[in-house]
Amino acid sequence: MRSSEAECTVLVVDDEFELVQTLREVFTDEGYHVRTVSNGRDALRYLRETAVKPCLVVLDLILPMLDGNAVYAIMKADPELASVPILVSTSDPSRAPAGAEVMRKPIVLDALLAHVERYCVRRKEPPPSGPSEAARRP
Amino acid sequence: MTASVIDRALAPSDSCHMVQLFDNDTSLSEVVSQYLGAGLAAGEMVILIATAAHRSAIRRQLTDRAFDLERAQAAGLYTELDAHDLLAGFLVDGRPDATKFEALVGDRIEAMQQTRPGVRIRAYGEMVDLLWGDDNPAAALELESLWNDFCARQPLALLCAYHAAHFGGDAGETGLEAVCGAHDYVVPREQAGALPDANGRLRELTLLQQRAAALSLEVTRRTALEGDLREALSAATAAHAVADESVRYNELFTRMVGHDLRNPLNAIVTTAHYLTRISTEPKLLRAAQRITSSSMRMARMIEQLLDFTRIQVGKGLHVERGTTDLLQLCQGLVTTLQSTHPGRTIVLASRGVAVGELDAERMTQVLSTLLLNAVHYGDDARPVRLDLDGSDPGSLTVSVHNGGVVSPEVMPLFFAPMHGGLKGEHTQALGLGLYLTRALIRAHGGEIAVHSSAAGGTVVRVELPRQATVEMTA
Repeated sequence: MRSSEAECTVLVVDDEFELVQTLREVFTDEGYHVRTVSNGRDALRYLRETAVKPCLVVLDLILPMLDGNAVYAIMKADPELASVPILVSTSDPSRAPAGAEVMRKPIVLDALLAHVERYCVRRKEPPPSGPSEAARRP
Repeated sequence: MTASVIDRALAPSDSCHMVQLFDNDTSLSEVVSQYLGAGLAAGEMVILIATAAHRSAIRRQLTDRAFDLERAQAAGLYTELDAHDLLAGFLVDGRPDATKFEALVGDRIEAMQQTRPGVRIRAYGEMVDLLWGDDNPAAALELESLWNDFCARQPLALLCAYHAAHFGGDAGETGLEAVCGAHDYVVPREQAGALPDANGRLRELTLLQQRAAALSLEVTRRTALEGDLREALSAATAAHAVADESVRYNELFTRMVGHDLRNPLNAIVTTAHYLTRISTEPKLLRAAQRITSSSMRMARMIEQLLDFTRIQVGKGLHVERGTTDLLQLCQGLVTTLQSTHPGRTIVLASRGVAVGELDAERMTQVLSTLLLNAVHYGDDARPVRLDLDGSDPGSLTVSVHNGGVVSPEVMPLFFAPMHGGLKGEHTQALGLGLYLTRALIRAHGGEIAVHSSAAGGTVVRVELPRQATVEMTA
């Protein structure tokens, strides 16, 4: 079942290039659209300019230009962005904004994908040739 | 008493210019009244030049000594002048004018002398003290000079007075020397003048010299001490700057480890997870598993180093409290540990309700460390026991028991950071686990203790308040 781009686009905001590449591949494999930006300023610019808001923002906290806490606060204060779900991904959850949904790094992919599934709809089914459930567990 | 010394200094008809140092008005009025009273008793003419307050006090003392001042005044033997008024009459731009002084003071005294030729005038004056007190010592010394000129011409016994406090500052010694130099005779404060004979005065002088020498030595010692203190202060300031720099570097290190080092590690771990998702190849899966395992161990070490650094720079450990069921948490840990250590027996026993406002993640870290230590360092043949006691309404108690023994020399280092492992062997850990465990227990407001004996094995006992009482940091 194909879905609208809005329902299946995950925005990853993180400055760790290798991690972003892995997440891009994971989300793509799982049937989601992926957008990635490496700093808070570009994240806000994208969110404000795009007509199609993402179904979830995976937001790192320590970012160049504008940090994740500031991005979170600005989004929550902006009527157009306040309803966009945010998952804060950080190595130090004590730094996360109050009330935010938080995932501790290193990210456990099963947990991350379970979270994405709550907010997003796949644009296609994941490839049928994936590993067994047992083999998936890290 | 001092007046008797003053009297001894006075030749019957010569001029004499004396100075009295005084500490307080009471002692001054006593000295002056004795001095003037002796003059009145000897039939001399007496002049009192003083402030209104001092005149009143001196007059009262003379009256108490049965002098009839009204009668003496009427007979021209006793004259009172106001020091402020008289001074104002001959000061020009803050300095005494010689011509005006002669007209106002000199001529007046000479006129008195002409009424009783051959009778000396005895005067007390404190105009110089007023000038010195007004921070005008030059004018005071000029006035002393005018008095000296007058004494050279006419027989006059003149007693001046200065408050001793005028000479207490840095320039005090110089000022006092100048005042003493302007007089024929100096009457010290205190009781030196009360000494009855020359021998007593010599003894007192010797004592005073000794005190002066001792004071001089003390000043030298204190000056040296002050120098030492300055050096110590300077060294402490420099050490403080070094410590500040060290703290700055520590914080820099924390930031670096916290972000720059963890970021690529996060990518490694997540990417290794990804490999296990996309492949069914057994060799690749085992390799990815090893990457994951090592990376996770490294991630834990980084977390420990960060916690350690936070404690070292005084920031403490933060706990995020929430309703936590310790029993549920312990059950999960025991199950996991039993699966990774199938040869060991781990027994969990509990009583009461083990629920409290605790940081679940941090408590997992604490219990995991205690259980792993019990398994690693305990007696393999004996079970590890985890006892959970929730029977107290205010606190929770956790005891981890193993059959091993901690040697007495290791006991004091049990919770110390990086002491090389409990058995002195190389381990895969940093040696921060138990140190951070204690810090986390304390951050929860609790306490931890260890007891070990050959008979009873080793027990680590943790006591935690169920609720936060005050905000704690480790």
